[in-house]
Amino acid sequence: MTCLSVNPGSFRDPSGHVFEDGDRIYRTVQEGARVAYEAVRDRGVLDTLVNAGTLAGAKELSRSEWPGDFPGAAYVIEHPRIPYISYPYEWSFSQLQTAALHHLDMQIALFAQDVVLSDASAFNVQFVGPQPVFIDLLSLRPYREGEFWQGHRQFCEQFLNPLLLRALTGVSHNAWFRGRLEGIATADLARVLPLRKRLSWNVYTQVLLQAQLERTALNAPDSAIDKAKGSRRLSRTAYAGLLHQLRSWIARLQPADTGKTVWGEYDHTHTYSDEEVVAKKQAIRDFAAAVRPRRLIDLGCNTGDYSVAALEGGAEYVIGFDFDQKAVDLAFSRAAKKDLPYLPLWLDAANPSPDQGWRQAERQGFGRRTKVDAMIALAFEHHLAIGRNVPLPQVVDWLVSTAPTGIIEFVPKNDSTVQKMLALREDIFPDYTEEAFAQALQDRARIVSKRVVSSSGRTLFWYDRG
Amino acid sequence: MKLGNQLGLLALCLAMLTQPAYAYLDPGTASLLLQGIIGGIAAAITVVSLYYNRVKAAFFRLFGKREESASK
Repeated sequence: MTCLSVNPGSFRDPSGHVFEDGDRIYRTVQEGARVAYEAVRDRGVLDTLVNAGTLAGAKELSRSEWPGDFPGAAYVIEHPRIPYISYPYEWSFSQLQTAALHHLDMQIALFAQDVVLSDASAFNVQFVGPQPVFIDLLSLRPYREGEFWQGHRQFCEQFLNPLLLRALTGVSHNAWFRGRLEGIATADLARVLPLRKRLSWNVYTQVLLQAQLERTALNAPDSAIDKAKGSRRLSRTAYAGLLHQLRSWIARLQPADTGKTVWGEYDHTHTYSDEEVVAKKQAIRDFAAAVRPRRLIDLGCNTGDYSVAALEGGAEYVIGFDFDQKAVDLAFSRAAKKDLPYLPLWLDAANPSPDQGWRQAERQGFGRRTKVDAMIALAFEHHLAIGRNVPLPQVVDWLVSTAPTGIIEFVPKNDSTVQKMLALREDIFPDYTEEAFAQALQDRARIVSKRVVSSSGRTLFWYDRG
Repeated sequence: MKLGNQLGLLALCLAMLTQPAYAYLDPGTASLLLQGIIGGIAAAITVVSLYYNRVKAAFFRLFGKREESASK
C-alpha cells in the first residue's frame, strides 16, 4: 500500500514534481518536459554526473514500477533519500561557497556538452556529509545557441551576494537569507557595501552595475521594451567566460571577520582538562555503540569532537548544530578533510528554522524535518536555560522531544562557564539545579544512566523515552 | 586593486552616466543587460588567458628543450 504525498516545496517548476512515500523519493517528468529530458538523458550526461556523485542518483522506472498514477507524467524517476535536507540559511560560509562552486563546476562541465541549467536555486544543492550534490535533474536542458545565462540573477541572489555579504562586510548571510528565501537582492547588497570594497572590477560589474541597470530599467518607459528584447546574443565564449570568472572569484572569497577557517590549523581550547574530554568522548562512543542510531543529532556540536565520537561508536550519520559560524566552518572543514558522514549546520536553538515559504510549507522547519533516532547535547542546555532565560523544564522538554533517546549534559551553576554567564547579571535562576533538571527529565523519560564527567560536577544524563 | 582596473572602472562609471534607458520586463532583465555589457569582456579575457597559457606552454616547451639539449 503506497502513501504518496507531493513534496510541498515542489510546485514552482511545471516540468515535474517530487513525491514521497516513506523513505522513497520519486520525481515525475511531465509531458511538457519530455523532449528536454530525453535530449539530456540520451547524451549520457545524467549517467556521467550521477556516477561522479555530482547529481543525486536517478533511476528511471518502467510504467509497471510506478508507485501511483501520475497524470500528465512522461517518466517517473526514483532518487535515493538525502539523509538530511538542509537549507542555505543553515549553511556556514564555506558550505555556501562549496555549494556555489559545485553549481558552477557542474555548469561548466555541462556547457561543454551543450547542456545548461535553467535556474540557479541554492536549494537544489544538498549535502551528503560534506559532499555537495545537485538534486534537480529537471534543471538540465539543451543549450540554445546565443542564449543568455538565464539563472544568472538567481545565482547572484542565492550564492554570490550572500557570500559577498560575509566576505566584504563580515556579516553572515543566514538571518537575511532566512528572512528572504530568494536570497539577497543585488540592489540591497549594493546599498550596504562600504566604499573601499566597491573599487573592484568584479564587485563593480556583478553588484553595482547590475543594481544600476535594475534602477535604470525600473525607470525606463514602456517604449524601451523593444530595445531590451533586441537581438542581443551572448556568444558561447562569453557564456563560458562568465562562468569561469565567477568561479575563480568565488573560490578566492573568505570571510572578512574570521578569515579562512581550516581544520588542522585550528587549536583546541577546552574549558576542562583532557582527561575529562576523554571520558566524555568515551561516554558518547558507548552510547552510540549501544543505540546504533541511523541518524543522530549533536546539538551544540562546536567543531565536532563529540559528533566524531558518535560516529566512532557506530552512529551511521550525524547532523551537528551550532550557533557559532566559525565552529560550523571548522566542523565542515573537518568532515570534508576526513570524509565523514557528518553534516554540521548553523542553528539558533532558541529560534530554530521555521516552516516557511509558500503556505508555510515550502521549506520545513527544524522540528518537522528533524526525525532522528538519537541526540546528544553536551555543554548546551545552560546556553538556553541561563543564556536565553528559557525555564529549565521547557529546555528539557524540547531536548527530549528531538529524539527518543539521547545524552544531555547538565552544567551546574558553580561551573566556570555558567559563572561567566552570570558574572554581570542578576542570578534569577534559583530553580537551576541538578535535582530540578533530573526531575524534569524523569517526568518525560527514563533515566538510563548518570555519569559525572568534570570536577565541577558536570553530569551526562542518558535518557530513553521508549 | 590595480591602477589599470581602477581606470577601467572609472571609464565604465562615466559610461554608465550616459547609458540609454532600457525597458524592464522583469527583475531578470538587468541580469541579461549586464551579460550583454560584460559578456564581451568575459569572452576577451577567456581568449587572452587561453593565448597567454598557450604562449607560456610554448615558452616552457622551448625552454625545456634547450635545457634538455644543454644536458646532452
